[in-house]
Amino acid sequence: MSDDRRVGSDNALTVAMRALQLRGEEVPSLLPSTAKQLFQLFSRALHKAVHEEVLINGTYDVSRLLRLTPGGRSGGPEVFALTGGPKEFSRATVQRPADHFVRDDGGVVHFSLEVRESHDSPLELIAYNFEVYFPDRQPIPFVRFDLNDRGHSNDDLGLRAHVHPGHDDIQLPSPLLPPLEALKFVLYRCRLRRDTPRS
Amino acid sequence: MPGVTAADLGELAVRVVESVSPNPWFVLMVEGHAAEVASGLQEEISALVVPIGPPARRVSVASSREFARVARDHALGVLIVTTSPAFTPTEWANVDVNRSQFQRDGATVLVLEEDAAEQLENTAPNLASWIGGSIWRLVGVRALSAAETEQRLVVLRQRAGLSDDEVVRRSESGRLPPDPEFAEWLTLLGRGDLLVGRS
Repeated sequence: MSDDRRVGSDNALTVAMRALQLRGEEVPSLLPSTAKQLFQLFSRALHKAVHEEVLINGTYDVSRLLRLTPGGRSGGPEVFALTGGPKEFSRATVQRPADHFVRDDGGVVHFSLEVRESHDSPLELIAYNFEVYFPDRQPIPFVRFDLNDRGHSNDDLGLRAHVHPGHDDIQLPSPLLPPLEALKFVLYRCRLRRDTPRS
Repeated sequence: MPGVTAADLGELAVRVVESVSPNPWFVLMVEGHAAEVASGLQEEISALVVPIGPPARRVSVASSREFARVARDHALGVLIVTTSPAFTPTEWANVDVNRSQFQRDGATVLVLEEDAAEQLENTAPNLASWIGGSIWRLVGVRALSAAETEQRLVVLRQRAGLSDDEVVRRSESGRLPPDPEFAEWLTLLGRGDLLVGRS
């Protein structure tokens, strides 16, 4: 095995991936002060998508599908999960569209992110996943943007923020997306740029 | 008041912006902080509409006379109205008698505390008939219910083939992969304290 393929050593690949990791995380903090404010920004963006008919949902679906759930231990900084739509790994055809965020092109959007809120520091983004999947697997099965919790393994360097281009086991590096940008991306983008695929 | 619909500000904003009936009226009942809620609604509406045409306006009125003047001066666009404590049942009765002065082309949203809404209903029956079923109560941020949390956990357990206890044990011993699914999992278990984040 060449040096660059050896896992865990501080070799050229590790150095390159660490540099990529640092560069990928070079984004200004675009988080509001509190988890509740982040929830409200998400609610607004989803309602706007409904209003613009980018989502085929009714307006009442947003408050049914968007949740902010506390999940820390009492006494410590509060951790919240902000979730939108049911978690769905089967990516099957939706039975009741009102139970999911469904785009005008049939794509189904769901997401989950975790933030930590404390009195003495800004809201901290811990992890996220934002996915749009296509039940008929066209043009691809799904696209998912992930942000991993910060791990300690060199295997994860360069890939803390990554995108799955239609396969759970393929990861491509991604910039760390501010959550609202990630939401808007899976709502408005990840679409064919032309009506007829080139191949 | 009968026929009250629960909604968040975003949903109500969409309803207001998309209302097509002539002279549409809405009542949003709040438990205090009416001015703050009115400001939030104005922000939600402004986020939905393109910045052409009359902007959504927000006013506080102390008398029926002042209300009539505002309605006349701002016949177009959304008008969000709160009332001061000086706006007594007599003022509502005056509005009712002179209701033609309050006809507008844009939507009118009354943001009222419950006692003010009851005064309207009791002393301004004709205005109440204009409002009809458009009476709303604000809902705040909602967390996943126990059943919704369990549904998500079931999906996560099936996906990873792990139990909740095993996930906590692996996290405590530093052996849990950093994937975002596990961040959500720990948070839903109330163990968000185990997440690494920026530290």
